[in-house]
Amino acid sequence: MISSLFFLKFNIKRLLGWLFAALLLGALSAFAYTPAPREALRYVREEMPELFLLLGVRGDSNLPAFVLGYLFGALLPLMVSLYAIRANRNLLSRPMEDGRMAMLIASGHRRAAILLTHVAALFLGLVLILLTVFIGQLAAALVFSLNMDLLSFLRMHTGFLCVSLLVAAACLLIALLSADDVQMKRRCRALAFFMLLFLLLSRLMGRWQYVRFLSIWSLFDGRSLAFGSGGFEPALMALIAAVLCVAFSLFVFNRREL
Amino acid sequence: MIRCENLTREFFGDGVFDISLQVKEGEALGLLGPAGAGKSLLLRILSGQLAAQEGRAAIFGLDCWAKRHVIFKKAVYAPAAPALEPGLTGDEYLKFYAQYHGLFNPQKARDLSEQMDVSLTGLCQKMTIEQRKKLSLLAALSMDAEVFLLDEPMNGLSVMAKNALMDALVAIRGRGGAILMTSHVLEEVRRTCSHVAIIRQGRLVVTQPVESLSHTRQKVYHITFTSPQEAADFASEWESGVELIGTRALVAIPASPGPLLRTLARYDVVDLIGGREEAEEGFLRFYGDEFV
Repeated sequence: MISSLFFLKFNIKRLLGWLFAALLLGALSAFAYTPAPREALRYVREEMPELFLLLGVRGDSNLPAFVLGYLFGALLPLMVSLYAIRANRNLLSRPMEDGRMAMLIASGHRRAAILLTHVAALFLGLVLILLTVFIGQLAAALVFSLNMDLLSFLRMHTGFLCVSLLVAAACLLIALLSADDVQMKRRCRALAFFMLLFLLLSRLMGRWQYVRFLSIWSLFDGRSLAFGSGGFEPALMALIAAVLCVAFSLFVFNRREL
Repeated sequence: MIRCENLTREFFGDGVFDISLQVKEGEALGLLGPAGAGKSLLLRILSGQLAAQEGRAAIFGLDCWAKRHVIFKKAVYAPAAPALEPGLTGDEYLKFYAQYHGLFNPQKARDLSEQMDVSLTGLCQKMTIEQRKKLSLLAALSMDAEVFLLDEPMNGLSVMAKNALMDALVAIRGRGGAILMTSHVLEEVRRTCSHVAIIRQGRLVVTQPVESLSHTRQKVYHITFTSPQEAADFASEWESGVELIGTRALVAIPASPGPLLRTLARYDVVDLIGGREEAEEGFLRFYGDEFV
């Protein structure tokens, strides 16, 4: 890793907006479990059961189940997808288009080192976002005196992080395989849209359940992770797939002409 | 230090074809040619951004594509359109460049920034094109490198900055550095470089020392054919340095007229006027209006 490049590319100022949103999302997801908002949500849920089913809300008997439905069901995957696209555009596709990447390559550093530095900045941003969500939940749980099972939340966040890394790595690979920034944006948006769509559809009854095999997000088995009955295997698969994606990205980047 | 052997690379219909050249220590080669002639493409191959399809491009005897990271420990590339980090100020950009490349000479940077009047305070994204260009060149020329690849370095610079840049390039040559720069202004090359190469439609037309260029008189022949078609047929057969005006063709050649006369023998020629011109005029005529 190249430290000077890492400090240039890991732009904490640019990340502040994301971190603020993550903190808010984490805190709100825990706050919504307090009696008054929970009752209001339950009422809305009874009015529109299909919509809430699609979003992944199954029960609210305890805080992990509640957060799994309202936060990990659709909102957090959406946020991670948007971050992965945005960060990959800023880190890779725009610099490759405007010549900044060519300047970085015309140096005494290997292409692999340059790409791995970008990957480190991308992944660290993602880790910080999910950590901030967790901190937001923890803070809200402390403020509103909620019974928060820390281990359960840590397992959920770890599993979700593995799958999120795969999404970010897939966007990285797409950025390197795309001819320009516009093409990358279109492809990544299509990937994010369909992954989320398949995830939502897989929650419907009958044959729709099989659609989950088409979505990366279904590798996050939040229920098993939260209640300690497994769920690590698919997360590990996601992590291995993310590493393979990065390895293939290195191969592509090494041969890519600018 | 810089060497191309029969280098060929097609690129979206254009390209460079069968390019052979070399730049030794203390030499500077000015690559002259109109827009789209392949000058920047050649520099992109040498800077390891593009791979050669045929032939070889090497710096320090190392292949420019396979060993680019080794080459650029001691070489510098400055593109025609400066690519700076938009969120950094000029000063921050220089600091990053210095840490990232490692060959940076702060004293040289201070001297050059004064001579070229480079603004280091504002954000790169808010700089004028000239300021961006000057900052990019300042970063590149402040390196203690041995090889400099400069794409249109003078383009868009003020007279003062141009003069400072030319002095800096001459100083680099003086301490044994090798420079390959592109331009489409003969005077810039004449003042800066030891050698000049003319590239047209991706092919090297001529390579010679600058001194011989200023002493050589180009021979320009005005040939009148019976029809425009006849003139066009001749132009397509005579590959380089032809300017067509209706039934007339202007051919600039630095060497003996023998091959031209042998070629013309196969055509219906109405008139042939031969003459001599100074290098600059001959050079400009060589490319007609393609030059700025």
